[in-house]
Amino acid sequence: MKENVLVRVEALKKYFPIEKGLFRSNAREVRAVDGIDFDINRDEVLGLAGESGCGKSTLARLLLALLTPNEGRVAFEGRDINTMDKRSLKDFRRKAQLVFQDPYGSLDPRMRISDILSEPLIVNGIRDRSILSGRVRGSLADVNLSPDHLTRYPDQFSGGERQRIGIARALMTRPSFVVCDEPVSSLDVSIQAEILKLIKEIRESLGLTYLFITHDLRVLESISDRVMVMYLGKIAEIGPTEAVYGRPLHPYTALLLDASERKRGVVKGEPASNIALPSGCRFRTRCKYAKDRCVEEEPVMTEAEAGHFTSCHFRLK
Amino acid sequence: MLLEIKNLKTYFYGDKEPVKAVDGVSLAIGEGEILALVGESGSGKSVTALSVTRLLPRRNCSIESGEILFNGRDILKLNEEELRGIRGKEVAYVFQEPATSLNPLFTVGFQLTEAITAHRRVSKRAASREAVESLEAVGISSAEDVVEFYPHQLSGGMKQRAMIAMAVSMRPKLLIADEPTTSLDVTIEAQILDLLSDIRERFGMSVLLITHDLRVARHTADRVAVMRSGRIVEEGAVDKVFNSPSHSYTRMLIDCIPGSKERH
Repeated sequence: MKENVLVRVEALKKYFPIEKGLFRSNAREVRAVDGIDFDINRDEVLGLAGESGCGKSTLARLLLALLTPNEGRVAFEGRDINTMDKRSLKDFRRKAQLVFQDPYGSLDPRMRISDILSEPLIVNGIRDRSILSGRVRGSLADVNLSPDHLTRYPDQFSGGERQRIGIARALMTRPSFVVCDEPVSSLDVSIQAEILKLIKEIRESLGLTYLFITHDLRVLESISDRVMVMYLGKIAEIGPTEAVYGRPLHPYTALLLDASERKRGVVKGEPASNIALPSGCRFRTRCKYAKDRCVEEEPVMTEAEAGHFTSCHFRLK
Repeated sequence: MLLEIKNLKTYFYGDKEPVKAVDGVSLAIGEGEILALVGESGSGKSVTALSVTRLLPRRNCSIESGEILFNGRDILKLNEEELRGIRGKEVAYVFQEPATSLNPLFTVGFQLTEAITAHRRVSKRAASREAVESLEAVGISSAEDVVEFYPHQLSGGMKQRAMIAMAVSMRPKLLIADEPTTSLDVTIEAQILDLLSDIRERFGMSVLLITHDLRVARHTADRVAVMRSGRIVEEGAVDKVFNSPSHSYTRMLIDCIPGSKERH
């Protein structure tokens, strides 16, 4: 069972200091990721949902070794990515890729599509023209774009097409692990559906492992095997997709589900500050079920049913 | 009917054939009603919305034909000065990106006061008091502090609340909200939609809500009009359009909603 784990996250913490004043006396910090543990299995799609500021993107960056954690470790194929030597790290970067949210900001407007797609390979030392052009065409075909597009610039494409190019670029180095950070959030719903379909097809044909991040829980339903919900730097709930949607255990998951249906009057208040966290349960300031125990004691993750964990003292029925 | 659009055609002119952005649209909004105009990028929703007060580039765009009756007056027959009395005052807009709608160089309070004094003869002091009140009216709790803030000091949801405050401070009869929640998180989006419903109740305002996401219309609007390639393909009460769409395009938009196929 153990070799099935591709990414293992243990007690991971990332705090960002707030430097204020001349002598930096009041050293406070933003607790972006505040102690989380989970695994991503091979060939699995793990969906990650949460609001702005809950630490989703910080977590993504930690998993890709783009940030160094304050505490805890991230292991990829059993090796800690923060203690790797240079060569292993380079190999890791080839295997782990990122698809960005904003298809406008993430493509250099002055580069042709062929150059955008070749760059990841050139960085990895592949300079042979015929190999490059073969791989570029292959990736473009993977995302259903025609080779005619290669000589064009990003501004000649729609938002949906740009996102396809972003995905093609991520596939260039033949990664095994792809982090998609809100890849459909800035697109029209009809285009969203297309991109989600594409991401699913690619997963089936290339056998990839994904971490798929979004603020809209409904987007994950059709694409993920398991879903993880984050709130203010911690995991609120994690479990198989059907279980989380069918029987959400954490009141925050229920709130996100209602919000993504655009129901009226379900969302009250905003998240507490992750600089000055409330005592006890960090969700209690917005929770309609909060009791004394939630003020006094911070809940720990417990397994409510096979593979379905939550950090709530009082699970929803 | 507060607003009646009859067979509106708005075309853009370039080197080639004119682009028929709006190609024969008829719509009506009653007093205190929320009408959602739903369609994909490029379907002509925003051009329809901008046509209502003729906020269109004169250089390459023209309203070819049709009628726009607002409170019984034909907007297309008004001169610039008469239009200024309607824009912002009787018909107010809230746009998609609150970050680019606010000027980063001025405080929120300054921008609100400016909008108020532009339309009414009130003293500066009265206007700044009104600015605070209008922020409170959109659910900003520490409005006294927020007027001193610059846009970058506010979250996306707060900025959009400030934009809505600016729009409703004139007590317009019609609020046109063009994708007001598209760049926001679902939880913030739910709150902004709650706010729009609440404003309608309190001020009896009519709302034209433009969105690409039928889910946004579902629990907020009374009626929905579905737009495609410059035309309205279907219109009706929200529940009817959702439960028994008559046009295949509407069906397709419903199927695009994440998770909808699984549940149907």
